[in-house]
Formats: sequence, structure tokens, C-alpha cells
Amino acid sequence: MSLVLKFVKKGIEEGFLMAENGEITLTPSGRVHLNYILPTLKFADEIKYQAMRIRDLIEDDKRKEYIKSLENELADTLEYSQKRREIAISERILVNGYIGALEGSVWIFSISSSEYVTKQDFSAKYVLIKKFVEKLVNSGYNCIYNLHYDRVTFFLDRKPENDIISFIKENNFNLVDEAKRINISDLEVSEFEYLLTKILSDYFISKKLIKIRDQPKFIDFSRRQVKKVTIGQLNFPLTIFYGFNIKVNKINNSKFILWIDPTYVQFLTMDKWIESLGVETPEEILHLIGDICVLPTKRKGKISKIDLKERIPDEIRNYWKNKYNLDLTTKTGMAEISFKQGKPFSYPLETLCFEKKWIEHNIGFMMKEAPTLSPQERYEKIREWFIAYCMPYVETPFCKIEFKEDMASLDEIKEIFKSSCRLLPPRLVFSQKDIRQQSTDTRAIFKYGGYAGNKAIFIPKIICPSFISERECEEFLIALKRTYDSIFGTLEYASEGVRIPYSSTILNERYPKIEEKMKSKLEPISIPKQDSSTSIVIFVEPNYQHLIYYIIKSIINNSWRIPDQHIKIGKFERIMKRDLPLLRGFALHLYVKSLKPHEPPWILRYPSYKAAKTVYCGIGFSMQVKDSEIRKAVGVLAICDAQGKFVHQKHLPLSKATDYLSEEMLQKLFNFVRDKTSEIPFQRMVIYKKGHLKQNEIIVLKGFINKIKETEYWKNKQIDFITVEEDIYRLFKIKNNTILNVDSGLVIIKNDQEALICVSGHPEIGIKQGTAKLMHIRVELLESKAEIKEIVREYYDRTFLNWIAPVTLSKYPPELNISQNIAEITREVEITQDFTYLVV
Amino acid sequence: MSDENEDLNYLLYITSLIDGKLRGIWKYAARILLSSIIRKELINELGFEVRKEGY
Repeated sequence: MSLVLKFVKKGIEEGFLMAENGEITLTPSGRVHLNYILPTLKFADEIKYQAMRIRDLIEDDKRKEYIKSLENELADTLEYSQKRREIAISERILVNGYIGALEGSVWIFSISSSEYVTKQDFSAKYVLIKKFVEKLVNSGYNCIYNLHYDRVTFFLDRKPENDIISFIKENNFNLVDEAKRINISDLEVSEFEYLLTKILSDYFISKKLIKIRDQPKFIDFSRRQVKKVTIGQLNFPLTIFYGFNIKVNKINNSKFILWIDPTYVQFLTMDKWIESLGVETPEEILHLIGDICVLPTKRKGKISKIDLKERIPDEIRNYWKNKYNLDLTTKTGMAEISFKQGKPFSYPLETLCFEKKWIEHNIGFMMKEAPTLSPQERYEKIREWFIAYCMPYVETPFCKIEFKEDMASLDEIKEIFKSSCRLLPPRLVFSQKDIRQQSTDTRAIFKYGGYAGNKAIFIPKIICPSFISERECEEFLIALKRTYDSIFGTLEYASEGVRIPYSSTILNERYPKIEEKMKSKLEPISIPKQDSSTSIVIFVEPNYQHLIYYIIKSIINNSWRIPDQHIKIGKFERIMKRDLPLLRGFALHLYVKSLKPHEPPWILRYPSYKAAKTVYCGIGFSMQVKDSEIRKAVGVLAICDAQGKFVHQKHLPLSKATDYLSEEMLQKLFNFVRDKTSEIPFQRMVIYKKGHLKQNEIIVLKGFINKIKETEYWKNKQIDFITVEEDIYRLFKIKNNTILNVDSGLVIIKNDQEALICVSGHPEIGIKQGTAKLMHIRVELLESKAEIKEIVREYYDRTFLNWIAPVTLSKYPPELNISQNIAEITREVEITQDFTYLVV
Repeated sequence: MSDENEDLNYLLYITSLIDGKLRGIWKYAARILLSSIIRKELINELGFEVRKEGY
């Protein structure tokens, strides 16, 4: 007996089915039972469409043909989904690091006190131990310290004398570990990596490189380039200084790898700003400028006096040369800067620069250049820095380090990775009705249209610069309609009065003025709406990035309550001339804006983790800064299911402005997920966040999860918290002696908590410019039994749900992109109501 | 919910959708849909092992 008949028999025995005249139907109790269990059926939607399709195919031949295609599809996907999605890496891969070995030992001891342990903040912990560091340095020790949560560890180049230990004890600290001598190579991994990073940092500083803040980022102030960059509508010469980032990983007790990645810092210095604007008098300058920063640490201060003609004294010139390796290029121009604390000082104008935020609000956004290096250029730059600073060896007070001359290969550092492979892209489905409309290429959206089916949209208005005429607006709409109608549904537009012109001179005004003018222009306008379609307003914005983008977004969302779609003037003109790739992309943007939370443009054929029992959540923060004060913080959340079938988004004000993951933020996140998922029987929730958690954030997170697990709703649910950040790691593929980018989908499993994955570029097209970056995925909390391999795979699959950019794809899952996008908008402008559309 | 009960639930659902109207082909359609669902479950739940026996 076939299995189906066995179930039919069982259904009849249970009283759920009846068989009469060769027809099988549901009994009333079968129907009641079905209604009860229906929400738990995982593929209900799909079965429905398949069954309807079979029912609606009247002719036997066609029905058989469809069933055959279903069978084939199933066979195909089964084959594809099996191990074939994971393939071995066959090419030779180089990494941006060099293998080193060191010889040397340190004296190590740890101390603590009850006061030290109770201090939450690490800067407060440092204040407590500062006197010990000073005492050690004054006594001639080479000293490195590592602040832990519960103790501080000191590393010294020689045995600490009794007076040091007595001094520590007199100051109410106790010794956790007695001082002992140890070979640096024998230190445990995290202690080794911390110490060696510090040793190398001190070494690079001694070679006159400047360390930027707390990061292991080193800038050579003698390597500079002045480059014209467009800021707003004007060109400004920016001063760029080059350098590199480092990271250390221990391979085993005899070797380690030093990762190097080139970087740069850029400043708009005051002398160049004055020169570009042609400002002449000190009064004018003082009137225009608020805060100013001093190179290289960007310490903030205010100008109290300025003299453009004052000669830069030789001792100041020498100071900058000796301390920072910076040769001043100007002869005159000095300013006196006063700080919140400490005495005022005089600085050459060339050493003063502006904060990014000040530039954005007072001059404009910096035009994004394409400064990223190609794989070949990056490879050469890494080598250049390495040879300049690490060859033939590095001699420090603690140890001597020798490096292997050639860049390391992935094979050589196998010991620090568990495994590596390449993942092939997941299958995506573009239609609810026709299961055959699927592909592994996101660009298939332009062939099949959207999973949510055809959508009707209506364009009531185009807000554009006044030089764009009514006729040009119409030409644009005609071109757009043709493309939209052929892929996504129907596009209609207002037959007259579609154009709302604005004067480009408004762009030169300051933020509050622009907002005021645009509000008074737009708010009184009533927008014609159509019941059967989604109204979307088009805003034609300048070619450069401008605050008006955010202003218009907030006005239209808060007052008109409809979606807006922005387009730069240049692209508007290209669409008028029927540029097909642009037309298709723009039509897709409009289509996405018309979709409701349960209407995705495409979905994953198979859930990203097991049988659709997981929901995904992305969290973001934004803080509004005004006049150096943080006005308010907003937490932003987006949730999405395992196939990408629904997305919900929300932004919520937070009472405390903090960069850290707070309990309030977590509480709001969990409440939001509970509200939105009450109908969905999920078992696991994955929370994604950009940026790895700090030690204190992990404590907050774990404490909160323990608490929430006592509630009925969350009791049996598993929470996984995954963070992701771009890291220093780069890979190069060597093919025919050429240095190339590695393929998208390349995965390196570091350990049970960490993995690296390349998600740069489209799997079919690759990366157009720059070097691929590896995303560093870290499991911060894991309650499910998901293995790191599965976590990475689900992350990779989810990056294919970046609906807005099927050609370039994204490095992040949609839930994270949405929360970041909303965070960016709420940082700049006031959003009083929830967005009416997906902010993808 | 046991696997068998889950399969029966799918069958009830399919029955409710096509409600006897497919006559002869009903069994065939149900078989395809059911086997497709069960196989999918297997892929997702057990990794990549596919049940060999036919339906």
C-alpha cells in the first residue's frame, strides 16, 4: 500500500476524512482539526499555490506536464542542496599577513582590588592603576599592562623589585599572581596577542609612526598627498596621510601571523579651507567656525585668536617634525586654541582640521571617491609597509622578532583555522504561482518579476529642480512606465500638475532654513491617491550627497504618509534617454516601495536554517548630535522570517543616549518581536548586530536573556546573538601569476564561535573595483545547537535577500540593512511616524 | 507533533484545497506534494540525507 493511501486510511479512521464515490473529502471534524493545526504547517503557502495550479489545469496533458516539472524541480533542488553547495577551494590563496617567530621573555604579574572590580568603565579602572604605571616607568621599567574586567596584568622587561610590590600593596591592591618569568611564546593566546600587539605598537611609534587613538592603526605623517575632493558643490584640497592597520594571531608556540592592511586618514585642514573659500579676515573666520580639532589625535578645542600672517616659529616647526614626522608646508598662519581642560596653545593652521559632522552640516557631504585599492595594488602596498618596518627583523626591549619574507598563504596558517570552503549561492524563488521561476542569481527579478506578484503604482508628483521642465518629467515617466509595466505590474501617473519645482539655490541654505522652506512648499499640497494602487512621490536630488535627502524623507513620511523614491539628476536624465539597466533598477526600487510587510520581491527557496523555525532580527542605533550634545538616541529594529517572507521594522526612542547595547534596547527589541510574531510558531531567534560586543555588553546581554527566559513567551525559545564586522583580513587568489579577488562565498571557520566570509560582489559578476573584504562573524550568545558552519551559511544565504540591489548585492542580511538605513535617517532628521514602506 | 501526524496534517490540508475535485489525478498530486514536503523537511531537519524509499 502506498504511503498516501496509508495516510488516507488513517485520516478516515480518525474521522477526519471520508471516501464516497471515489472522492476523498474532509469531514466537519477534519476541518476543525485542520483550522487548529494550519498555523503550524510550514509550507502551507507553497502547497496552496501548487495545488491550485494543478486544480486549475483542466487538460490532462498540461496537468501531467506541470506535475512532471514539479518533480524535476524537486530533483534539481535536492541535487543542488546536497553537499554540492559547499565546494573545496582549489586555487592558491594568499593572506595579507606575514609569519613571524620571536625570542624573548617577560616578567608577568596580576593585581586587583575590590574597588577596581566594582568600576564598570575601563577608563575608571585605568585611573586606579595609573600611579603604578607611572611608578614603573619612572623606575626605568619597560612596562605594558592589560586591563581585564577583574584584574590588571603587568608585563615587565625585568623582575619587579620589592619596592614596587610594596607600593602596590600600600595602595590597597593585592597580588592575584606572584611575579614570574615566562617565555612570550608560551603565553596563552589572548594574552600573547595582546602583548605582541602592544610591543609592536611601541616599536612602530619609536619609528615615528603615529598611532591613531586606541586602534592598532599607524599613520606615517611624512607620506602625504593633497587631493581635490568635492564637498557639497565645491572642491576642497584634502590632506591625506597614509599608513596601515595591524593585527596579531598566534599560530602555535613557535610562530604567529602579523596581519597588515593599508589605510589612510584625511583631513580638511584650516589653511586649505581658508585658501579655498578666500576668507581674509580673522573676524570672518571666527564668525564661521565653531569647534576645531588638532592633528593628529583630533583633540577638540575652540579658536580664541587667529593671525593669518604670523610666521610659524622654528621651534614649533621642529616640534611637529620631531614629534610627528610632519614637515609643515606653510610659512605663516597661527591660531590659539583653548581646550575644555588645560592651558591654551598656539598651533600652525596647517595642523588644525574640521570634524566630519561640522563639514557635513556647514559645507556638504564629501563625494565618495573610489580610493579602494585593487588586489594587485593592495598586495604591493602591504609588501611595501612590511619591508619598510618589519625587515630584516624587529628588535624591541622585550623580544627580537624575525619574519618570513613572503606573504603567508592560507595553507601555511591552517593551524589557526578549522576549515575553509566556498559556498555556492542559495536558490531563490521569484513567483508564488510558478515554482519553476527560480534561480541562484538575484538578477532573475528582471526576468520573472516579483514574488509578491504584479503591483500597481501611481506617481502623483515629481519634486524636481526648477530647470527640469514638465515635458522632461513626462518623458521620464513614459520611459519608466514602459519598463515597469513589462516587469512589475502597472505604473500610472497624474495626467497634469505632476511637477513640483524647487529652486536649486535652496541647497546653499543651512539645514533649518531648507526644512522650513520645503515644509511650507510641500505640506499644503494635497496628494491625489488611488485606492487600487500605491502612490509614490519621486524626488530629483542633486548629484552630490546633500542633507535635503533626509529632509524630504522626513517631510513626505511625516505629512503625506506615502513612500518617496529619490533619484539623482544625472540618473534622471539617463532614464529619460532610456538607459535600460538604470530603468530596470529604478523600476525595482518603486516596486519594493509598493510592497507590504508580507510581500517580498523574492524569497529563499529553503529557509536559511532548518524548517522555517527561526526568525531574524537586526538592531541598529542612532544618536542625534546637535552642538556637540547628544540630543536623543533611537533604537532601530527589523525582523524577517527564515525565507524572507515578511519584514517588520520599527524605530523607538531610547531614554539613555549610549553607544552600548543596553537593557532598555533589548527589552524594546523583545517586546517588538513578541508583538509581531504572536501568530508565528518560531523556536529560535537570531539577532544580528554590526560590531562585536564589548565585555560589558555581553554581561548585559546574558543578564537580560536570563531574566526574559523566566517569562512564558520566551521560556522555550532559543536566542542566538550574532555580531558581524569588517575586519583587517584580506585574501588574494593567485591565478596565472596574477593577483585577483577571491570569490564571493569563500568561508573560513576560525573556531566554534568565529568565522570569516567573503560576501563582496555578485557571485556571477564579481567585484568591479577594490579588494574583497572578509566579514568577521562572531557568535556572542548561542542557545540553539547551530554549528558555526550553519551560522555562516545562514548569514550568507540571507545576504541574497538584499532586494534593492540585485546587481551588487550586500554584505549584510536585510534585517541589518533596514535597521541601519532607518538609523541613518533618524540620525539626521526627526521621524515622527513609522515609515509606510520598507526602508531597504 | 510526530512525523506521521504531521504528514497526515499535510494530507488533510491538500484535501481541503482540492476537495475531491481532481478525481483520478488526486492521488498523484497528493503524492507529489507530500513527498516533496517530506523530502524538504528532511533536507532542513537532518542535513542532506534524503529518504530513499519511494511513496
